[in-house]
Amino acid sequence: MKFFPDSLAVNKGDTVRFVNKDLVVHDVTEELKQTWTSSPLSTGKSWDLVITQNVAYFCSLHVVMKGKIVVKR
Amino acid sequence: MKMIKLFVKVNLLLLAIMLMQALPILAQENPTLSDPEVAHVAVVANQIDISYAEIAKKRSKNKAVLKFAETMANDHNAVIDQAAALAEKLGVTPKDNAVSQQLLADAEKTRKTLEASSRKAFDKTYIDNEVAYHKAVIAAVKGLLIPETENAELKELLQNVMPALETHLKHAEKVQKEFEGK
Ligand SMILES: [Cu+2]
Repeated sequence: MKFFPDSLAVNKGDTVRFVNKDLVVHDVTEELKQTWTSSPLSTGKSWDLVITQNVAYFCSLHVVMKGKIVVKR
Repeated sequence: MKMIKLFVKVNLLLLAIMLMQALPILAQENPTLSDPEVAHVAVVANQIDISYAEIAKKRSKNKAVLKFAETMANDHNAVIDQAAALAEKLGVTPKDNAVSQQLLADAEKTRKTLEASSRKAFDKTYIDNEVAYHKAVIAAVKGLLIPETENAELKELLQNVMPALETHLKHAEKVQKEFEGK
């Protein structure tokens, strides 16, 4: 199980949509201090994040699932 | 004659299960499980991990262990739901068999070990078993269940479960590091 793509470069202000295409529940959570989270997303559910700065995230339910998004400059 | 032959086959299968962890390749030479039996083994293997998670939820106080156990219960339940839905769609009734029985007998021993371990030792005992159990299940799904399966949809479901099992193993190994040397 992984975030795909697990590394992404976007423009500042872009919205990134996370879609759970797996058969189990996942979430998207800020990695360092868990400052934000999507909360659990069941199969087929999606969640949007507006990117204003670089972010490192993980799935708090499967802590080895990780990804990052960087702002192009 | 037929009885004897069956008995030998079952024994070979159990031997293969025992060897699988070390030698996954061996298991590929045992064409002895029907699809209803494969489905049964798959459901039992998931139920066993849920039962371990339930013990952990009762006995652990460690946040990482509790979260891991919660994920195991949820994910393995989701897999059982998928398997049940597919079995119903295909009109297959999961059939009890020697492999399922062996898994349950081993699980009973593990349950006793988990229940008997001291409060202090519980987390490490649980997570060590989760690492070993997921390794064994991954070997069994890859080396026995997938090759044994005739039905394409059942085979696909088993293949789709593999990434979850691999992730569970990595997750368990990560939590295990916390208890290293304890
Ligand atoms: Cu996840």
